Amino acid sequence: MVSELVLITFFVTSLQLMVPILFASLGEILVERSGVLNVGIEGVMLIGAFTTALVGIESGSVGLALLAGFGSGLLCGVALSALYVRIGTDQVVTGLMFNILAIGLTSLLRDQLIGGQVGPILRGISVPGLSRVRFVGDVLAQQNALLWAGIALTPVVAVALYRTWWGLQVRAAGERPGALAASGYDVWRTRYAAVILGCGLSALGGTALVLSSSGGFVPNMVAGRGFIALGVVVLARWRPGIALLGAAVFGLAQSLQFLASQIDALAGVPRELWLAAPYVATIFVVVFSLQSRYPAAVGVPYKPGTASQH
Amino acid sequence: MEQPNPKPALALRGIWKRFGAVTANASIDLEVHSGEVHIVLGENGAGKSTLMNIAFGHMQPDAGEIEIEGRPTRLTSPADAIARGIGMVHQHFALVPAFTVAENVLLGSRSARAGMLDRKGIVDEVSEVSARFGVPVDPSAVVRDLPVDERQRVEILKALHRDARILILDEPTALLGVRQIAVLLEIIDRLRDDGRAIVLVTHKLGEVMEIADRVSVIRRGRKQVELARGEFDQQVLAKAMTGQLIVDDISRSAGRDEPEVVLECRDLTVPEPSSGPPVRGLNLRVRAGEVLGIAGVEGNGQRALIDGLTGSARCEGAIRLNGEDIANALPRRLRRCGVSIIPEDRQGRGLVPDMTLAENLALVDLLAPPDDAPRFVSWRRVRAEAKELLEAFDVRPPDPDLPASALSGGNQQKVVLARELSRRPRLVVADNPSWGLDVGAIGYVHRRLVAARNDGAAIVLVSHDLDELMKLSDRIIVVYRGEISLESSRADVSLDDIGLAMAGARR
Repeated sequence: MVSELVLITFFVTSLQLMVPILFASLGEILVERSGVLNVGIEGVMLIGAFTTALVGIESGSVGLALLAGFGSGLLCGVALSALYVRIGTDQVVTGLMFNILAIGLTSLLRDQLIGGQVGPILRGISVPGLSRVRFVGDVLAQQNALLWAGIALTPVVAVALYRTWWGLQVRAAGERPGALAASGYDVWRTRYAAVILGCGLSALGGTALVLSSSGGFVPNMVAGRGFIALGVVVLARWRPGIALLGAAVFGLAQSLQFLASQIDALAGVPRELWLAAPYVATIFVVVFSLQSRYPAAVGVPYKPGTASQH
Repeated sequence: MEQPNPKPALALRGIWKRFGAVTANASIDLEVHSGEVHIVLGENGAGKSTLMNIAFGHMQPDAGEIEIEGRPTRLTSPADAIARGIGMVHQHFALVPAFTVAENVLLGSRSARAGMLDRKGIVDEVSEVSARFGVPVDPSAVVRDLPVDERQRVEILKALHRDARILILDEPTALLGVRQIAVLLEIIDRLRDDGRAIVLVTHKLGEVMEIADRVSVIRRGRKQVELARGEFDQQVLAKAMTGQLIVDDISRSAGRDEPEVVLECRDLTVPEPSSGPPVRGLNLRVRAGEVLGIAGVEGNGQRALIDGLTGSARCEGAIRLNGEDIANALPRRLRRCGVSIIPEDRQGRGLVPDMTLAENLALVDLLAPPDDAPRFVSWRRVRAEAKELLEAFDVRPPDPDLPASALSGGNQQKVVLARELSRRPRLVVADNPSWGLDVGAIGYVHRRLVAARNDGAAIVLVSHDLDELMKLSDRIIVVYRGEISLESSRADVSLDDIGLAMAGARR
């Protein structure tokens, strides 16, 4: 009923769509584990995507474009952590404002600087051994290095958070910053590091969007994937391994529209319904993960000097 | 005891600290030597915790100096204090509830550059430290699941693991039961013999008598007096602490011959209380004008009993109030039946801290208004009535427009009493009503409860404080693992009997 080619394309698209959400989720896990909720993740991805496209077009180098995307995320992290951590603003409102700013800023700069130009993109790389396997090989042949980088990064983030002393400190900052301070550490510094690094990773989600498609930038091209990542993080209970699965599920949900368009029986269903699928799925995920426990201090700015707050 | 080192391990000199218009510390001096326990005694809000937070670098003083082993030092953060050998056991423990004991103990001991965290290795390390100092903990337990006394030992161990020579304990006994306090004092005694300098903050006189080598009394931010062992007794200390002699003037009227039974529980089972274990098949009766004291080690069903009586948890069996079944009744109905509740957690369940005193006092009426109440609230009337009540219950200041959070703990509790006792309740359920209060406020709470009893209310009093139970109760029951292990009139029971029953021995 469905041809093999359609199925291959479906999985190829799914994997491609999974990568941005994976990077965004890994970054957000770091940020939230330290006690900060970065609602501005959408804007960080958008700025990452734009910077990647701009540098790619100007330099012609994929490597520089990728580095620039990551670097722009780190800079967003510096700005956001100054607001979230140092000044202690309301994180939800600040994040939303940052998103609005990012949409406006990237759209304006696109019109001024790059318009509809396209830059270099990452080509698919063949994996020795797997490329000969029927079906799987065909799907993977289309995937670029960012998929493998994301998959490799997942256990790295997990080990950093759960198996190192640095990770213990980050998690203490997210659970009970007062205890971290009483242990002789600087809560702010711990959170700066986590927010900056996390924003860098999240921006790579935007980079992946650009380098896996045309190499150009389209206004608002992140299209809510940052918010989907916020949902994936809750669903994954702040575990990078589960976030990988979650990102895969959302990749599949996003490419449903393509699969549906190829199946005659579903021809009557409006396309918009399929487009909405990932967002509806996000809402369901958040509703059904009510019992998952946020790190206790998420969203609460820390003020030193008061002895033992929670 | 050895001759103390001439240079104090820790010396605070002329410490000043102001918060807005409030002076928390006014030129306070404090010295503690190695091998010495120096107790800082004072009522709540006297400025003890501020002083300790300054000594641990949480706060900086506005003026004054800190010397460690004779060297002037500035402590700009806890990290500075830790580096100079100070350890602190916080009143509200500075532990990460989601982490294991081992992770908490070692959190401060390793820098982020220490690399990988060896889960088994740290458990072994903490076991070893626990054994070496004789401070028993389970290194692989998660702190969230531990009882308060064990959490406290984790904090002590955390300081010892970093070899703190100076140990600050902020109100360490506030949350503990009698037996747990004895264990803690034993540990402190050993640490003193080990040559550490210990500063212990408390508002309880008993501890001072037991372990202090030296005591400084602080009142309203000023040091009143400093006395060495042998120079103080309870009377002198209480007077210095409160500025007045406390007279124990509780007068209980003789009970009537056969007063009616107000509360009767038959076969009461509360399977899922809000915390702690369930109670099963409890039978009890409280008559008008009687105080039933309930003793027991924390976590033996007291919580379940209170949850059942106050409609906070589903229960089976019968609860009758003057013959009417009130099992599983909603709070609104309980209020209408004349049940008053004095919860343990006065800032969480007793009061709404951000609302004004007038609003807090009116809350119960809004929930269960008298039948003739007008449809709309007249705030003018509410405030006028509140003003009267606040004055009648000696709340300071008696300003109905202040938020509850602006009052001291003792005055907050007086507001709760004003609301709960001014309506001539038939039954009062009081859960550790004097918890965390200072001597003066405790005396007030006791007098008010006895006055309610003399007026004919039936009172169920749950308390960790055996002295309080012995003082106020007409009858005492002891709960052990959700069942009654002892029931007796107060006159016929000794503290030893109660202690044995609390440990599970049946007579």
